Amino acid sequence: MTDRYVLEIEGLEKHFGDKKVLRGLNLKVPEKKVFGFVGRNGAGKTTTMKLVLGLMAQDKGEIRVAGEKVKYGNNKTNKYIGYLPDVPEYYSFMTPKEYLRFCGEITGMDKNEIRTRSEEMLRLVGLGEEKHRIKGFSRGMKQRLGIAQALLAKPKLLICDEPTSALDPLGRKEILEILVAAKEETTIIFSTHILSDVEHICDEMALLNEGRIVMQGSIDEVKNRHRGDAFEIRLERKADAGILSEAFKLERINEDRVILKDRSMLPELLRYLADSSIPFVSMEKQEVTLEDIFIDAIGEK
Amino acid sequence: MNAYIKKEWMELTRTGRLLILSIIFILFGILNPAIAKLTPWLYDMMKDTFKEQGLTLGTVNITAFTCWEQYFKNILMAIIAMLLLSCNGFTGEYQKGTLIQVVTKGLSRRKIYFSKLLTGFATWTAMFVLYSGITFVYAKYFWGDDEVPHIFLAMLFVWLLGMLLMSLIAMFGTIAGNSGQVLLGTGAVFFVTFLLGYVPKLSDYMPMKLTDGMALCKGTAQVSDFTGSIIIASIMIVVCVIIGMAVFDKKKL
Repeated sequence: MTDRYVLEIEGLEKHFGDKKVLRGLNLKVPEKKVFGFVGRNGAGKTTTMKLVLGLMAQDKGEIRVAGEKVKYGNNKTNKYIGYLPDVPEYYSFMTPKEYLRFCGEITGMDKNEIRTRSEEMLRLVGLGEEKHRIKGFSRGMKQRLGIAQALLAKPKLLICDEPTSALDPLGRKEILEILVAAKEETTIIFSTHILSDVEHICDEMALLNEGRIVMQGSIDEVKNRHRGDAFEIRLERKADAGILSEAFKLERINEDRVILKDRSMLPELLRYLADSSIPFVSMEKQEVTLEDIFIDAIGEK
Repeated sequence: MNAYIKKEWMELTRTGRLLILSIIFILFGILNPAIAKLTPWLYDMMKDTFKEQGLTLGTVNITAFTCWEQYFKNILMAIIAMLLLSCNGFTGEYQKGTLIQVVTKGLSRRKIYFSKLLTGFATWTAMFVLYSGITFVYAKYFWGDDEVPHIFLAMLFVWLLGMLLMSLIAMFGTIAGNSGQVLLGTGAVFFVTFLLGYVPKLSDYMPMKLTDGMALCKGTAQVSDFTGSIIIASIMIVVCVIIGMAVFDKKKL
């Protein structure tokens, strides 16, 4: 069955002139998840999203949204998608309410639905009382209105292109909270290079590098796969750190800390500590951060 | 499609474009009879100066024809104003990126294109009615006894020329990236047809001939003399609309 995946991309290729931006990208996004699409600036995130939206033509490969093929030009699958561009622009002579009514009408929603849904969405993004025209809106307000218009028609898939990158910490927090709330009703793909955002709200992630997906899975899976078996041992006496690192060929990271990378040596090391009565402050498994994984994966290539 | 036309209308009214256009076309409409009315007075003022130079002016006879002559002269200025105020319809949206949201909401490109085209046609028609209506009412009021034959038909020629203008603006709007290019393209087409009008064999077939309605009213030309230019202008409109539609289908937004 294809409908378990809201979005399926197979062998996607795209180049601009000589520059190959996507080189055989494969991606599957399951339903009702917040999916983080991570990559450096210029890795091809926005290009991928525009191809999914049918705003550009691909050179090779196939994209299916809710099981239907995406076509460039008049793209029918857009009815399943809500889209929030990185810097959303609106008809600035309208008020938020008018803009949402306009969006509802072009999507073909009926009048009552537009009214109730607009109010609901504007409340969700905190613009419920806003009566002014969009003209004077701040970036954060525009971004929030962007989410409201993207969610208006209850899309199966919400695509957000770096929704938090241009915002201040408070604005970012607001957007992330709104996205988490939106997860109840839709699948969210969310491109970013801010890894802490991914860690906060995403269920799954894919890492894009040089036009290919180099890693994909749930946040825990990705972390587990890359969790080294390293242990960090902090000793009470600095001299012991030297002794230990010499006896077991350990990496000494500072005066009183050493790293044990080979897990199989742990029992022997513990025995040694006990036999030699070496006191230690702590011994803990090293946590990997997404940053480490990101740098690792991109550095390898 | 209705929603998009409503948005176009809102844009026209709220950005003040409709107001500016209306003021311009009302002013031009009033100008035609005003100039005709002022002509004798101007003559009187100049009379003495001319006398000193040994020139004598005969009495001028102002009729409805004088007023309508102004109508056909000033229409070109009005058309240029229309062009300047309408050339940003498509390109403004490319530059701001507002169409991306509309297209990604599933509104077909054809509907966007035809909404803009129809709004353009409607705006021109409204302005044409303002301009012609005002001139007509004044002409009737001041020179009601003068019979101006074929005047309605001659006015319709002008309307057709305006429709050509609007389809050119829409077509270049789909091709161009900024409003300057739209101005340039539309201007170039008008200029070329204007130049070709000097070639005697071609002059009867050029859309610019449509501003020559006065000849019809004065009886120096027949209705059939305009057939060629009407057909050519109509074909040009259809071709522009089709090209614009095809280009916009694949336009990168």
